[in-house]
Amino acid sequence: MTAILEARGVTRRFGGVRAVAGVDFAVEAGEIFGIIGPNGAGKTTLMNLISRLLPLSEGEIFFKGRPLSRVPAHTIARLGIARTFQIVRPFPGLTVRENVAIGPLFGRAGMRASIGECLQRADATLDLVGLGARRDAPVTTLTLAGRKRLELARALATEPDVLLLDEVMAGLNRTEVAEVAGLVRDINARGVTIVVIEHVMEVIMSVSRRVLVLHHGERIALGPPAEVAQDPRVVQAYLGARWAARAQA
Amino acid sequence: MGGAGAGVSALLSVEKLNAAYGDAQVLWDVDLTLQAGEIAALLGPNGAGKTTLLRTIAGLLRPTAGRIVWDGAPLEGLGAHRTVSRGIALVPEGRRLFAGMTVTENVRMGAYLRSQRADVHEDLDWIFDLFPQLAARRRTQAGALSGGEQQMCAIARGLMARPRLLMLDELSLGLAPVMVDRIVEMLRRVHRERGTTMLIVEQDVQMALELASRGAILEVGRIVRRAEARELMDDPRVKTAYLGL
Repeated sequence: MTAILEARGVTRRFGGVRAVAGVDFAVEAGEIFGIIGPNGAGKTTLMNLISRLLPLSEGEIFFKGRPLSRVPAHTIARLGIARTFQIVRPFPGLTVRENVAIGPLFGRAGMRASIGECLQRADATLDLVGLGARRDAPVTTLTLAGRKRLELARALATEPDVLLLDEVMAGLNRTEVAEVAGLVRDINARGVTIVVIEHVMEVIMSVSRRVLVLHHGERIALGPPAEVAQDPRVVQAYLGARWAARAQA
Repeated sequence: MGGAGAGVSALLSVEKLNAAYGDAQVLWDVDLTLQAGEIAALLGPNGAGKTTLLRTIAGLLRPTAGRIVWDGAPLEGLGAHRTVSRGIALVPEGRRLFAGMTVTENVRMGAYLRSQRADVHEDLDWIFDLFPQLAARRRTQAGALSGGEQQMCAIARGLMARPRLLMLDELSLGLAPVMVDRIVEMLRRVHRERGTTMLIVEQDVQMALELASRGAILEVGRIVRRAEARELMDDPRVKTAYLGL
């Protein structure tokens, strides 16, 4: 497998705080790659660095071998990277379908597709995420679970090679969480590489092929979920040093 | 810490509590009881709803459904100021001190709703006896204190309400281990001398279970396990709750 996304020495400072500190990792094409870590570990900052919402302080991120720091931020979607946001903010005056059509209009297809084609692509994407029946509804009538699916559809409709998911399951009930997890697997099965941050550990550990563990901005582990969950440094980060010491003994 | 109906004499009884931020529901039918004088620990990973549960009990967040019964009377929807005057104090995550006020001023704010001046004075002496390190800095602005001292100051402020229930959110976050030990020792002393009921949320699971007699695990807004602290120490479910595996 080849790396589609690679981070080398990625660092971001906010004043004197290093929110992300010298992080290296490579996401392989076709995998679901999880990013986990306790509160304040730097997960969302890392996501913001990959999507170029924030500039890097040091290091470089490569997408298909191309350094992203030299690419203007607004062209990221056209290169083939799409993301969702933890706080979903659809365009309130538009229908569900129009909201999703914004993705392809702005993203890769927009360079070559008409509005009609973009709306068609929106319809296909809405069917995929299970919102097909709501396509003409004003977006303000969607529930939170519906808005999360819409957020996925908006990103997905840009036809990304890499999809970054930031907490798409937060605030959902168990049934909805299971449905969205299934959706993430379906999207991945269509060939989209997925990088996912999620607080629902049960889910991220079951959908991810590998997980990167951040703690205080640093990489403390990287590997298959079952391996990472046994790593003493990870256990210590999540349950405290004393628990880890006793578990080791 | 029991489920609903675990004894009529419960000091606090939370029944089928639901809470949400907008339409994002965080707590789902949470049942929890605290007996007078016990120390209980609330465990669970990020985003499980621990802080939300404390905030809802403290009256900072109105539940969307369910009941909170405190000392035999309904508490839900009363508002934080009334909750404090009924004997519930919260030491919030991140301490939330008044940075520009001195240590003494901050600590005294905890007694804002109390009218018995002599008692307040007595408690202030007791608190500074409890925290000699804080006593030495009583005229220092809270913003200039070390992290550990700030945490002590926040606990002191909570204690100044003379609460029957003290809730502590992420007590040890960002503190040196020696400072954590000192604070734990001090909480044990408060418990011994005043019999204060405590509900603690703590990332140092071992410490929480050493301090508490009972614990409950929250996962995605639901309580999935309740047990004696001793049992939880050897329960694989604890690790599963945090790490998903």
